[in-house]
Amino acid sequence: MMNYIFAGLVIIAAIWGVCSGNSSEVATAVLESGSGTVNLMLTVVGAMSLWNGIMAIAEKSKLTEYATGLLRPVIRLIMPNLKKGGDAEKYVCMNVVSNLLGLGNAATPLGLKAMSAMSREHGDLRGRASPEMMTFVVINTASLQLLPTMLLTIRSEAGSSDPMGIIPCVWMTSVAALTAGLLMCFILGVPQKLVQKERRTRGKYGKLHRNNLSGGDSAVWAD
Amino acid sequence: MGNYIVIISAAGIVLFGLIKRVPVFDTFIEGALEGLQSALKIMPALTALTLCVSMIKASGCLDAAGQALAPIIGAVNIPTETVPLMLIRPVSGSGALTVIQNIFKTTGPDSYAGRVASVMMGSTETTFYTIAVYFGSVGIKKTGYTVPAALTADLTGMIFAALTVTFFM
Repeated sequence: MMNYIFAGLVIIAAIWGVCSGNSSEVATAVLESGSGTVNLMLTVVGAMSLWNGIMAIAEKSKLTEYATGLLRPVIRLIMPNLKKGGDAEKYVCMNVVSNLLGLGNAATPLGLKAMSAMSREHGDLRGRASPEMMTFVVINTASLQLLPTMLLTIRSEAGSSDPMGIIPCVWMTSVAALTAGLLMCFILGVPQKLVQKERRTRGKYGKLHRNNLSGGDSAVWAD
Repeated sequence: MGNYIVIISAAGIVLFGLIKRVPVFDTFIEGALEGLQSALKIMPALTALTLCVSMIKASGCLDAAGQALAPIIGAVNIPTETVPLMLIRPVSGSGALTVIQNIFKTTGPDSYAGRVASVMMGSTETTFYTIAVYFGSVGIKKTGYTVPAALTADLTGMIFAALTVTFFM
């Protein structure tokens, strides 16, 4: 996908720039973009190195594992179908804690472990995402970082008089975005839950029906 | 408040590590090296994205797009300068970094557009990348309603960025 985005932007810019008489500006942009990257990197490299160092200490001192316990009740509320005390639940909690602390390097591997644990717990998925997986991925696509260190660094580098001032707004916005995402998961998940329920009731009337249904399109969610 | 968070995270984590008998200095060095490596790893992508973002900006194309979208996004007080950020944020983290750097350069980090862009950047993620990596790792192709739900979250984040900056800053 990035191939098309990259090529598309360059081509559109070239055509638009020439047609609208901005060709000299576009040419300058091409020549100067390399040094622009180096300037951006000078800011980013230091910050990434520093916070990664601090967070390595957090990881090694098992801070994430301690914080996991605090989070478990919330996760149980959002994802009620996870096996209590199972691997999936553990990794989901650890992933969310790592995200909150901004441990990007730790969060992704933990998230992938959570995905494989969920897929094992669920059993027969046949290439389809389970509702828990979808909820979990939506949580990960919403940024839950308490301290967006990279953002704060580029803000102060750009000469902001109050780089941290945005943090309360970032938190409120993150919570709003995550709530909207989870709400959407819940609403869009309703049809599948109904199918699941119907399947369970029909299952009582014998195996034949069950087999018929599991061949259907949306019945694979049920265990 | 932000200042305290930074101080507490840095000093608190070091103190916690010390209590847990972690070799804090050595661990910091190891982590810092890892951070350096991952920063260098994103550099080629940053170069490519800086090229196309600065070209598209210089061409005047974005101003036209911003004007076209102005009546819609103006209704919720979203600054037109943040339109490119909203478009690239779900797709590419390095791209978003380049775009926000550009916004800071033109309008300043403390301007209304600069603050809204910051909040957008801090409260959303690289949605499509995350979906691809997470589902890809367990071989799931049918992602159900993940994309619409995640994009709803992103859109809510964009709108709330403007609302919170307007009312709370």
